[in-house]
Amino acid sequence: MLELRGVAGGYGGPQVLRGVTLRVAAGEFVALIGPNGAGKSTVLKAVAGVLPRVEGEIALEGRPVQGLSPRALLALGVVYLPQGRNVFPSLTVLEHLELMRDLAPHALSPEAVLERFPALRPLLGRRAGLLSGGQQQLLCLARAALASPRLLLVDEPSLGLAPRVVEDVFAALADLRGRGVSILLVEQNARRALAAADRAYVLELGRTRLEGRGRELLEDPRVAQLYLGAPVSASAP
Amino acid sequence: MIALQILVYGLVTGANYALVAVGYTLVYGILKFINFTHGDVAMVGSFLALTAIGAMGLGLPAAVGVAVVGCAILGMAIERVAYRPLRRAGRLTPLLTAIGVSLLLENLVQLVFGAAIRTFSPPPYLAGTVVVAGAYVTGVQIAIFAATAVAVAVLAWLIGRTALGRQIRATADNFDLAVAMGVPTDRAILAVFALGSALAGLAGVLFGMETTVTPTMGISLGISAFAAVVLGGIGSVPGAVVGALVLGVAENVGAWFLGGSWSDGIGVLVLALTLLVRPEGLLGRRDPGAVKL
Amino acid sequence: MRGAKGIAASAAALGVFLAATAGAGAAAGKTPYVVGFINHLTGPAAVYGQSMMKGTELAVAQINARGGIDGHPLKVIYKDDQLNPSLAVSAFNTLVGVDHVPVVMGSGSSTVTLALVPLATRTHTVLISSISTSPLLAGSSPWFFGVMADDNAQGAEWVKVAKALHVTRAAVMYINNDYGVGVMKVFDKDFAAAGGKVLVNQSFPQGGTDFRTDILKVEASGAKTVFIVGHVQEAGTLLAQAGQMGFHPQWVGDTALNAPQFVQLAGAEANGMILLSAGNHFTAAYRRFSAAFTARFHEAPTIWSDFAYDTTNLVARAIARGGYDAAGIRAALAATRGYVGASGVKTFQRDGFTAGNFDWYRVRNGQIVFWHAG
Repeated sequence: MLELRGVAGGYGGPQVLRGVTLRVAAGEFVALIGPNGAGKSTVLKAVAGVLPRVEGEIALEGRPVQGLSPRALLALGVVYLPQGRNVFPSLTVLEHLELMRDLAPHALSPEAVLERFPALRPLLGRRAGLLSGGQQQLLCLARAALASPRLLLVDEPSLGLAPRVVEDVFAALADLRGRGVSILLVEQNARRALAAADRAYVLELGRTRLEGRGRELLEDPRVAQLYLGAPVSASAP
Repeated sequence: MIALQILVYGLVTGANYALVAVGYTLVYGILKFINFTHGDVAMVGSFLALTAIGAMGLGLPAAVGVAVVGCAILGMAIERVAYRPLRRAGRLTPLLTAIGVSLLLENLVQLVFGAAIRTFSPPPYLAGTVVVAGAYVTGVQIAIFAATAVAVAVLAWLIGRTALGRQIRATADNFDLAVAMGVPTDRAILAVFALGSALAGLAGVLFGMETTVTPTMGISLGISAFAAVVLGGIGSVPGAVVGALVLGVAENVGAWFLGGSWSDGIGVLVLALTLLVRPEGLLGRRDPGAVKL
Repeated sequence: MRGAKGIAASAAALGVFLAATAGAGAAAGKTPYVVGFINHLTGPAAVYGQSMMKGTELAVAQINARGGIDGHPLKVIYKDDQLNPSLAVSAFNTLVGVDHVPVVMGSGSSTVTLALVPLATRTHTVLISSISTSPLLAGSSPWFFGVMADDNAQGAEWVKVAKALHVTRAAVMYINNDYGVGVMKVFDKDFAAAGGKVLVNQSFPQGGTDFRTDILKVEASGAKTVFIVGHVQEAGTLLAQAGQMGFHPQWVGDTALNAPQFVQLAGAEANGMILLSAGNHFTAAYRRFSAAFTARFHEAPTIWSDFAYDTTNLVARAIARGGYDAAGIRAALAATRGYVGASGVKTFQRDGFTAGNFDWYRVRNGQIVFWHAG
């Protein structure tokens, strides 16, 4: 589905990415973990078409896509959820869904999405700025689901959320994966990400260092050293 | 009945300001800068209508059409040529560019039409006067109220209920997110300029029928409308309308008690007092930026 | 064809050459005498400045065709102040500091001219205005001259009009600048002294476009006669709006409104209005000026063109008598007695203004027609 080979790039200053190589197969859930400042979010921006400078190869189903705008990528089925509260405060919940419906070529109806996100139904008329953090993140995922994407790029969806809400978010991601959506997830909460993902990459100083199945990496002492920084087995879920 | 008459005059003044003010507030909402060419776009609307009626022999409705479409195109051209290249250049640069474009428009119009003061008479079907509860209201004034109400209602529907409106509000709320989501932000911004400028063109025609048409009329019209925007709460469309009506009435009340030369001063005073009590304006929010409806 | 064209071009070039050398014989033999001109050439009051520029251009053309001033051609540097005092000040500084002119003709509006008076005093430059009439200018500087009689004379003239109309109660509407306030104050004082009562003094803003509430206030005062002083644009719009509102008093205007543009703006409401005109326009001197103006510009002169024409001629005459330096020009101007100009007979008083007389006009069927020599 998605393949990055030797990707470098940044914001105009020093390079943030210095050699990122990774692959997401069709229907696969891949996590990208690493210490703060490793460049995880920058990788997603490079794929999503919002990073000012990108070198190297980014291919979507074998087709080069670097330099495409987010709008062109959306037409190819790529949906990007940036980090933070990604809602428009003055638009209502329903308007967020309608906004995506008007933009994505293979969009579902808001009704079909609401059946999968019943928690949003009573909030349809509420402005997104008035929702809780968890509700906002659910809205983002519902909006992404409405686009019926083929590849979803998610940046730190659990940031600042209560543990119970984090589980809701990961349940929604698992549900999307179950419907055949390929997912590339960037997550600070590495344990939770590795537990959910099929495969994962560890990023350090702008380079992909390690690759492996989620559970394997979780128990890899090099990962513990590089990133988790503590004995792994005791605290793994 | 004099109080009612002053109210009518104030509302007519305010309705005209409102049509111009809405354009300021829309552009501010989406780009966070004051488009100071806006009053001059209204001036161009006056001259387009003047040409349509005088040189082309069209009726008033067709002349309004010429002014509205012409100004929409002009507004989009200004955005595309003067502002879009500067979108990442901070706030001061487009402001200076706006002043330059203003001077350009004023001097171009003066070059083509000369500096003479012009008027255009209302058509016969608007020449009459009706008496409402002792206050005189002319046909032109009724047309101004009706046109303003319809234009603001259409705008409210466009912004509040259509796909384009959602995209405009999304772009105004969070530009970077809108880009990342694939919202056609350039088109949304162009649409805002087209809508605001079309209303300014309409205002130019209506204002021209009530008063006079000169190449420099856009300056004072623009300043009054801008004051109305700040009074109502910048970025808020209903705020711009309410602010314009309040300002229009305040100016005319001031003219009655202190003389017409004080009306601008009264406007500023009302503005200053309002901002002391409510810094965000009458209908504004404390987090300016969003286009609200 | 080619040959014929070449011959024609040569002949044309020869013609131009001959014309140029003929001109040189008339007024190009010596260095030009350069003087300055500042007025509202663009902006809301451009109608005044443009017509004054034409009056000056005509005078300059005639003077140079006669051989200039003692063989020196007269040259005028034109500057635009857009009715903005700060632009006028910078134009004045350029004319005096860079071009070293001993005399500046300008500006139109008293408000702008007042800003130039201190500069004229400080730099010892003659400042001569064609149509500024604010009483504040009277005696403001030994270097100031005003070719149109000041507003003191005009306010008193309004009282004469009131007497002729047997009016004892009237309202005043005045534009809120030095000019409007000046006329209003003089009229109020003289009218009261003559036993009249001013019902209301209502100001209206310069640059304003909506005067309905001001008109309403005057109408509510019960005034049947309204004296109005203002500029063409504002006052014309004001009368048109009064007409729309059904308020039809006897209007009496000032000299600034004696212009076809005003009547055109005011529409039917102007009919019957009485207007003043500074100077005398039914003289042989005026007819000669008017014919030359029309021949040159293919349009009739405005009531300011003749004053600018006279100003230019008075300056040229003063240079001829006093020499091309500011002190000489000042002395020669101050000594002017009984000069017969296009706009009337000019005698400068001690305060710098000419002693003036007025004609009264009346608007009939959209035309401003001579009514009465005041």
